[in-house]
Amino acid sequence: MINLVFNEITKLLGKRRLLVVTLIMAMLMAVFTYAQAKEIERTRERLGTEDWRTTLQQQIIDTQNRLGSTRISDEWRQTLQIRIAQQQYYLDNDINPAEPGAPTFLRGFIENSVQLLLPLMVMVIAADLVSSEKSLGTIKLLLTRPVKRWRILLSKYITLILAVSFIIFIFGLLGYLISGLVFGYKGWMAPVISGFVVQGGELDTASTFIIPQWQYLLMAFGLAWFVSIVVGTLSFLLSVLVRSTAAGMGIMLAALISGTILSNMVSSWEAAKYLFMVNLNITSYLTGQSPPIEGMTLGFSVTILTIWAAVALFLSFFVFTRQDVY
Amino acid sequence: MVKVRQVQAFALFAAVLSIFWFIGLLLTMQGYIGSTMPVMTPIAIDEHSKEEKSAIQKDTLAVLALGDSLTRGTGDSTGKGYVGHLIDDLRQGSDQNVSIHNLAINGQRSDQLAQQIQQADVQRTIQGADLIVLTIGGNDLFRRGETLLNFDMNAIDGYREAYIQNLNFILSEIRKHNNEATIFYLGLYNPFINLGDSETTSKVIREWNYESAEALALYDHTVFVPTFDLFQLNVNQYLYSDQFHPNSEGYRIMADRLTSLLTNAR
Amino acid sequence: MERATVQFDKVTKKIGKKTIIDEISFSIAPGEVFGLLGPNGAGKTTALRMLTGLMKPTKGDIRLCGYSIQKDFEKAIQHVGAIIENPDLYSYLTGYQNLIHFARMSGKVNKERLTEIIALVGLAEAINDKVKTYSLGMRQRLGLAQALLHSPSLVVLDEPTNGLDPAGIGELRQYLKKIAHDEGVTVLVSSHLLSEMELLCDGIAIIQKGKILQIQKMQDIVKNSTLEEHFLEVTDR
Ligand SMILES: Nc1ncnc2c1ncn2[C@@H]1O[C@H](COP(=O)(O)OP(=O)(O)O)[C@@H](O)[C@H]1O
Ligand SMILES: [Mg+2]
Repeated sequence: MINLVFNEITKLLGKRRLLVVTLIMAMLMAVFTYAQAKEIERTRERLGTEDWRTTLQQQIIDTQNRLGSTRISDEWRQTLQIRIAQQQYYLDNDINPAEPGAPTFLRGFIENSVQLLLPLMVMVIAADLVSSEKSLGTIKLLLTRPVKRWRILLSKYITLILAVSFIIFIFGLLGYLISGLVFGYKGWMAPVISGFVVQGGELDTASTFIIPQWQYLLMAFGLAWFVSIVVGTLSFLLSVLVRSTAAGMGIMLAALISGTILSNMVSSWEAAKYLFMVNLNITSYLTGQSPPIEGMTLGFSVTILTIWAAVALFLSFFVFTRQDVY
Repeated sequence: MVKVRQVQAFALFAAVLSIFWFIGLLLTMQGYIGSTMPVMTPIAIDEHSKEEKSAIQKDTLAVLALGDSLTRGTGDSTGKGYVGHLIDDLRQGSDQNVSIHNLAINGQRSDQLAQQIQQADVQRTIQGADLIVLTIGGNDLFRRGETLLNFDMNAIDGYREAYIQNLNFILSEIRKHNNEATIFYLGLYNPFINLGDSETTSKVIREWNYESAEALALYDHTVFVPTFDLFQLNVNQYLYSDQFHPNSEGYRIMADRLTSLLTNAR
Repeated sequence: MERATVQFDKVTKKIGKKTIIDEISFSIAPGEVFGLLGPNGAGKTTALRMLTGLMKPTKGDIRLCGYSIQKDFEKAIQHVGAIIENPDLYSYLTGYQNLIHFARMSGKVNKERLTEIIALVGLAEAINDKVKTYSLGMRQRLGLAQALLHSPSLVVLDEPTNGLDPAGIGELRQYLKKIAHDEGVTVLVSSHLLSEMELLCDGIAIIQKGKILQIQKMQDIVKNSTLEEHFLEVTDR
């Protein structure tokens, strides 16, 4: 088995897709670092102070003023109210929610990437693991060796997991190095409040806890890893089912994008919570935002995603070990 | 070319990473679903240390803006409002660093402001302020237009009494935390001066302003800044399309008045 | 009698409603060079795909060295080296990496064997270049190298002369004859070219529209007429 995995890694590295993914992420990191630096500078100019309490308090008041507008939807209003409550809680506990530094940037960035960016990057790798062998024709050579088909597929799946772990790592490393150039490299120990619960549109702070930022990051990255594995597994299934990598990617892309759209508008369509793409924004449970559909929790999302991945994995093996190869 | 040793190194490294991320995932699941995280005990707010931390640099002029939509700048297409214009003027006029804290909330009435200034963080901000600008009372009087629809002198008298009480409370609270900063209170103008019955509405507003000025006079370092006259002659030129809030021009002339008062004071 | 290296036993393949292979049976003795001869679309590739386990027969069984390809896949396939249709290889890897890839999967291949096979197919100079820089002929050679790498006792080549120049075809023919007759390797080749079969094979099966029309030893045919005459005669019926 280890030899099969080495084979797959050789091909993965040979295809240079990891390199492409790394470059894309590096570029995005640079862009977002710049954008955030600009934003901070603008706020500082406007308020004339660097004191985070001032800034936070101003943010709260600004949001309160947006609440006053009659034109905003009830859902958005609720989201804003929860945000205000949370910011107020930070303020009351004298904790800076955005201690300047690369780790804080990383925290915000992973929270924003877990739903789309990371899944996309993983998809680029996963969607062609099997289908490229088919479209290249190499699958004929691969499957006419004295190795059972399930072992071949398993070696590919293991490689996928390794690749996902690597992508998450590169994501963290790049984010840290690039944003650190601007924000500095400190802030691992900064306190972060987690454990907010949103229930019935209200923020419940009864079970909050304070953890150092490094621990929070480890948790967020663990969740991002999990989501990436799930998305990778689903792309993997598509890769087994379709011959063309582009078609597999297209389908997955459509699902992922519909997920980000649905998350913002499905609150009245209860059954949508069983769709995998509505459950991807999983770090939002760490930060305590209101879930897309009432009643969704971290445990719920993890369960749903695990079921989707397990079914996809089963189907992949079922189909791959039986299908005729043309 | 991919070397065999590179492949092996990658495999090993990625395997270690997999374990690492898995630990992160376990940690989360434990913390959230197993609830093993120690629940946070709200920290007692240590006033002293807070004060120290919040001390803004000495060479900064800290401006605090309180009140309602006028202070917020509603209706100004540039988004600045009279506060924004004022800050621009102050920054242009000197090398001194100017910080601005705009805690005004759209639609805020005097009773709500009275509550707002009792918040610990607002009080802290009041302490640090060198200059306070304030608009309040417009919503107490106009009630989103209701007052005009069912014009009732008795009701208005009631509103005014309650308002004056709140204003007194607000001013005394501010003075409790900061007895240095000059408070600039901007009076009401009559947005309905071009409509019918402007004699009555103007009279109500004049009385309102008069009582506000009287209340203000009870406290040190307070300045009543009239705006009635600014909007008296050319009201349509200075109003936003809602015919109630000033537009950019309107805010500009309000700011001009404040600026001239401030440069005289310094 | 020796056990047959390849044994097709009433093999049928249907895809959808279409019958692509219709109850074909034949066997190939060890050391024989056997040809599947038929026009394009006759079902040659499909037969070879089933033989290598890429497709499952709808009915019937195929045995390689006595092992059923369906029930005993690993044992049956381990003695087979094949190129089906085109020599498709990993174009983004070097020739050498491609060979290592397949060597890892077959187990018993060592460095000496790799060097030997590379020299044999004449790719020693280009072996560390990426395959995408190879000409079609070089790819054929590399394909051959991966098929022969683990010293198989059955070599299956689907239209092997496609893309080879006449000199290359001659070389390949000499080599196949040599390994068949000197080392006892069984060779199964498919082709739509009569002349090629005539020069190479010991026995042929003529296949058309999924059916085997005739199986004959080459000397029997050649005795009577040229293969071409024979082929036209058979397919005309
Ligand atoms: N995947 C498929 N689905 C349906 N028909 C197929 C498929 N593959 C091949 N065929 C048909 O089977 C027949 C035999 O094809 P093939 O074995 O490739 O012929 P040959 O290799 O002898 O030229 C052809 O008529 C072809 O159209
Ligand atoms: Mg063919």
